[in-house]
Amino acid sequence: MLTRILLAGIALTAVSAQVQADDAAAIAAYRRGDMATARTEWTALLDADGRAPQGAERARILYDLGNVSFREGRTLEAVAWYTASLRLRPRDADTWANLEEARSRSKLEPAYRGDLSSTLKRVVRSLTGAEAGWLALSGLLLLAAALAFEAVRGGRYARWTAVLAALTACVMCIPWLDHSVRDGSQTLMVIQPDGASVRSEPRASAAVTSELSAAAVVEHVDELPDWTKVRLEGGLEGWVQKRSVFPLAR
Amino acid sequence: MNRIVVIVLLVASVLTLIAPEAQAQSASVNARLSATAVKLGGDTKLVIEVENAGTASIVALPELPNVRFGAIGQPSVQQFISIVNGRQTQSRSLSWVIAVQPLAKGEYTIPQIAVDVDGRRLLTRELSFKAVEDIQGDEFGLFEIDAPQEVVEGQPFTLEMRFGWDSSLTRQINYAKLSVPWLGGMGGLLELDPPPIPGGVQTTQLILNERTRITAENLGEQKIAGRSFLVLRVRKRFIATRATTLELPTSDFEFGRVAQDSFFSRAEPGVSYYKRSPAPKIAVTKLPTEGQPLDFSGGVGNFQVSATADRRQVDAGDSIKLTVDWTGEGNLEFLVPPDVSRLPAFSGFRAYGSNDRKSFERRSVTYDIAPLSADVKEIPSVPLSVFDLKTKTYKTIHTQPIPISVAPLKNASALTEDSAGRDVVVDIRDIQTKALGGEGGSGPGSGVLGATGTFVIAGWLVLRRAVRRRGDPAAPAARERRRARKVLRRSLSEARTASDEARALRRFLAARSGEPDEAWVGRDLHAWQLRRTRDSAAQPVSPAVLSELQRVMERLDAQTWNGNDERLGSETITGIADKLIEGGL
Repeated sequence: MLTRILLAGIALTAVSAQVQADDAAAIAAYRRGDMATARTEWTALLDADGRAPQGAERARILYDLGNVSFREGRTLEAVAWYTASLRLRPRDADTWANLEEARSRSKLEPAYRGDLSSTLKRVVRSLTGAEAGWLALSGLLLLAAALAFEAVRGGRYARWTAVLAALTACVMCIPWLDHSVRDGSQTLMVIQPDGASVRSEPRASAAVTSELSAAAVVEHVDELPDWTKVRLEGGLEGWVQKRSVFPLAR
Repeated sequence: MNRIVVIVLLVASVLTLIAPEAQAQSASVNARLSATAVKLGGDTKLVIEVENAGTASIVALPELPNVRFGAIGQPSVQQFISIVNGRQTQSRSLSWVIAVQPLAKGEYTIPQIAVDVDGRRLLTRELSFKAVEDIQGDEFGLFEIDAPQEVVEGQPFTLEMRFGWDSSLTRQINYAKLSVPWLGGMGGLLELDPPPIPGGVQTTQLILNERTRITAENLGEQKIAGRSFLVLRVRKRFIATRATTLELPTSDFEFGRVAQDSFFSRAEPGVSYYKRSPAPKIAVTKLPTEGQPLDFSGGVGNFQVSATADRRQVDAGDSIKLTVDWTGEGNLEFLVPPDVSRLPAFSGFRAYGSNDRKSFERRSVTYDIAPLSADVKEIPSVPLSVFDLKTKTYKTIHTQPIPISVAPLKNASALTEDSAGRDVVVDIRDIQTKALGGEGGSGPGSGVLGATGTFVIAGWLVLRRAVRRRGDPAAPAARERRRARKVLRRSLSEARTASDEARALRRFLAARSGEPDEAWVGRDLHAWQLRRTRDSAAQPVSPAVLSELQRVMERLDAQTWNGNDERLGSETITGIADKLIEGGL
């Protein structure tokens, strides 16, 4: 048993060393301006089975890939990488700064417009999935305490306390619900500067049923080798060419 | 011929620079009346002008009772060529003159008239006029207009109207109206902010064109041609936007007495007098193209200039606020001040920006500049190319150079021309080589949250039911029972006598037992304990505590009835109360 544990530990250490080596190679390639190699190394790291970095480290690699795309002049793709990174690390100032710059260069409106709706959205999405979960659990425990008070004491004061706690718990659960909805559906971003045509069938000659603008976000439904079936905001489904969309869940 | 065309084009381009309104190429419709007071039998002329139009036609003239309109006829056409930002545009002005004859005395309003202009339907403004039997009172009134006879395009000018009545009539006059039909409806004339009314001058509000009000300066009594008049004055500033002859129609000043019917006196009949103004003509000439400098600012007038600097001893790179003031008579609001960052003389400076302030009599621009090195010895003069109205030539007015002392930066290299010229660009932030913050471990999953939510709701329901099986915790008796100890402490702190303390203790016991206060007067506690444990499943109070309570109650009774009513002390009573609560009461 001890031997097995030791072997597993040695294997993990080896995997970690390999990840660090690959990452260092990607950073070195980026520094010398070899964007293609940097892209290959980091993309391989993201897709590596069993040793792919998770959490903040994964978000960092997505951010670096955004810089690679930006330096290659593919600003819309950079927007998509930064957006994907922010889903894992939503408060990272560098990622926000680069996202806004990439959006500006792509002639898109800012991700954060500064109005009420944009601010609320940013506040709700400023927590990671884990933080949102803990916040929701805290809300439920607060509700439990208020309900216990109401059950034992009764009366108007206790009832209002319970109602207030219920509302607070609902508000505290919003980030978690938002994460649940977003994590549950695989979203895609259009990364072609001219947008993308939504076709009724996965053929280039099929009728165009809708046009997607650059950086539009749609829901992934199905996939064929060169085509991806997407669902638009209004519920309309259609096929777009795979190269024109970018999966945001990385 | 070609030379004439070039001249027209150049003049037109300058015109577009100095007359912002002329830059707008969207069609507009103006309408005015040649006179707003018409004697019966006479007529007034309705002038409709369409500017910046290709084709235009009047849809129909309105039908007004007792008013006869003349035939519409063919419009007279004027064509203009202008260049805006290097783009040549042509525009045409069309105007119709239609006779309007009133057939009966009264006040009339010509409604908006529809004009089809390049496929769009535009409307004129409403116009009012009055038909009177006789335009009388010319000899009692005064109406003079001071206007320049000749101006150049872009030259602002002031038009002064002085009007009033013979001062011997002053007691009889109780109303006055001014009709200036061309005001706001004259093509080629742009109204500017009026000159300020001098301090100390009284003002009078008059009705203007039957629609709005205008403030007139009351100049008081003045001798004019040997007669005494009460004189009012209105001054307006305009800018001529194109070369033409502006023929201003006559204006009318109406004054008199409105008929008044007093409770104490007979009604007095009203009377109206009219004084008609002369019809001045203003010739608007083109700006000469000969000698026009390339950096012509569009300024037309007689200007003076001065400059001040907020600091004259600075370090290299320090900001200096250079304020240049242009004053005088001219189109100060419309000239384009020089950009010092483009002036070769300012190559030793970095210009950070400027703050431009405009007013009727002053144009003030503050430049934020910084000397680049200690070699800079003065702030150079700032030139402005204008058209001088006195000499009728173009000239450049300069500020005086301002000597300054620039010290080199200590422990730092001064700004160089090279760094001044280097562009600073926004770029993305560098890659990250290690993760900065972010996801710290995993959070509770959906299952945990769902189970917690379900447990909370279910637990609440179960606990609620269990608690309410013993009675409603929010009922008054339950609340009193919970509050009994607190109430006892408060009552004891306020008690002054043993009887107060006995009352407080009985109230506590009543609240905790659910019985009335009176039940605890002289009660046999052991008998109560027996009955309580027999009738309910209540926890019995320990006999020792019960005995102690009995003793306390007896002592309180003794103190109450022995005459001195001295307090027993709150410590003893709260002590026994705590023991009773712990004992299950």
